[in-house]
Amino acid sequence: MEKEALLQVKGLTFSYGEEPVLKDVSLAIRRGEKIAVMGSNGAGKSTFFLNLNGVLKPDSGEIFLDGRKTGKKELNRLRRSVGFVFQDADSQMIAANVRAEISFGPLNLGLERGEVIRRVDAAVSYLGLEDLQERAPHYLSGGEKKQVSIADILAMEPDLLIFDEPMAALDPVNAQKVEDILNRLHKDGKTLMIATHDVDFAWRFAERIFVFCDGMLIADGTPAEIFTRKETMERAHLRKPSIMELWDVLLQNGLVAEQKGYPSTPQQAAEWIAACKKERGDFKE
Amino acid sequence: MKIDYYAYRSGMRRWNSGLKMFLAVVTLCLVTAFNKAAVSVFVILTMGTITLGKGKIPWKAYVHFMAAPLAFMIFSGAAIAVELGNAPSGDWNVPVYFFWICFFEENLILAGSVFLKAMAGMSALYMISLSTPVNELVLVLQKLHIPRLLIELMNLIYRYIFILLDVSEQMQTAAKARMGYRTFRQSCKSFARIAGNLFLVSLKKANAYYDALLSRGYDGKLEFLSEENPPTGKQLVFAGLYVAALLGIAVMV
Repeated sequence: MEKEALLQVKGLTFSYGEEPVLKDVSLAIRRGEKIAVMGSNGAGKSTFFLNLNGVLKPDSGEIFLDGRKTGKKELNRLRRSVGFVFQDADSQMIAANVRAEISFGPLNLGLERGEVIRRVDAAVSYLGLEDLQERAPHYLSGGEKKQVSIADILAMEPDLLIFDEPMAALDPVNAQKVEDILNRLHKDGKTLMIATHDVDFAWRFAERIFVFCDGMLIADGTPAEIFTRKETMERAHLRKPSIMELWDVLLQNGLVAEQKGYPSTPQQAAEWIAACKKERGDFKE
Repeated sequence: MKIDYYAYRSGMRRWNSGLKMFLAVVTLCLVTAFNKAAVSVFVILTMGTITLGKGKIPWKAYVHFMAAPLAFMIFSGAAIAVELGNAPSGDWNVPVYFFWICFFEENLILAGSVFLKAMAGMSALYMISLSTPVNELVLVLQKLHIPRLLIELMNLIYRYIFILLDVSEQMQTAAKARMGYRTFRQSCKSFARIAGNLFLVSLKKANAYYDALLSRGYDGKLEFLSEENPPTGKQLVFAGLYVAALLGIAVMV
């Protein structure tokens, strides 16, 4: 039996003024999933997240949290259970030092002081920010700001964590750091939803992909399903992950044998190639 | 903005901010009240020593900070010290063509004491502003029951002023890169455009920032965790002794 949905969205429609931005979006997110959300700029991803987070109110449609419908009066329940890490860390930070900044969310939850301190300490040590605690946000580097903005949300201990393009504008080292954090969060049982334009990242990271296009959810499936659906890919202007393209070329040239699917990592690709060579008898040590 | 930078790095950052504020304000009041040169000199020397020694502010930076009011003080001091007249009526007189520059002993002393008093006040204020980030000062004000609205505004302004500066700097660099500051006329035009743009960007960002606040459960009350460093016995004794010494000098001289 499938695990019960943590969050279920039914027929969500939203518009800024006249212009509809989200059209009849329905989906369900189960506990512990890691989902990549793809689609070009302006496809409605961020607006969708703000709706899930209770910042924007949908024109129509329903959002169920743990099977319970969240009405207009219960937006706070959404804000509590769904954490949203903004793309631009600067827009999220308001306090004058890192520690105060991380405490802002927990204090808004109305927790008592002792619990707030426990959560701030936990978030700080989870991300290893001990040395930055007393620093002002304007003296942090881009990578540090990103980590603080993640700690901000972790301290609220939400059930579902949403990241809006968490690697955007980060250098490779810091992007890798963020990816490690995401992997760790998944291992610790958090439910993750990540907007990204990086198909390679989506391929190696996600178990499931949502594709948005013009405010509609046009695909929902495993990466292997989505990236082999040519029509969907074209509509959403997505390119295949490099490893899939490479595998296709290898297949076409008969350098590897047909497999069940595509390798998920370069290491796996190497193993498959080695196995194939061995089978054909041209494996030389 | 450099002041803010040094405040975060100050060796006195961990001192209780209420105590630092108390010390600065009391010193300022005493200097003004006693109006004695000896008190002023004592304050200039001791406050300078504290800021440089305990706060570990580089002396070059400190000289630079003190020089800003210094220039102003020299001009206003000169205005007090010097009188122009058509007769040599002062204690010392310098003839210049058809008029005289007259120096009165009394005025010179007055100018000197005003000058010292102002510098003493500045050094006391630099002691606090070079050792305490703005947000900690705001916390002290909060304890003094300044209205919540003002406190929240101060916090927000302090945070956003740096973002605003950042953005305006980027715009300026971009304008420079496109020869926007080549001539004076062009510079004026570029400046005006940047100012206008900054306003529009601010409006747009305000929306995004408000969304970010909401998404973290903001419900009309801006609250942060504040842990303060209680004053140590040593610091309390020091502050007490300092004020006592000031009073002592004022009475004796």
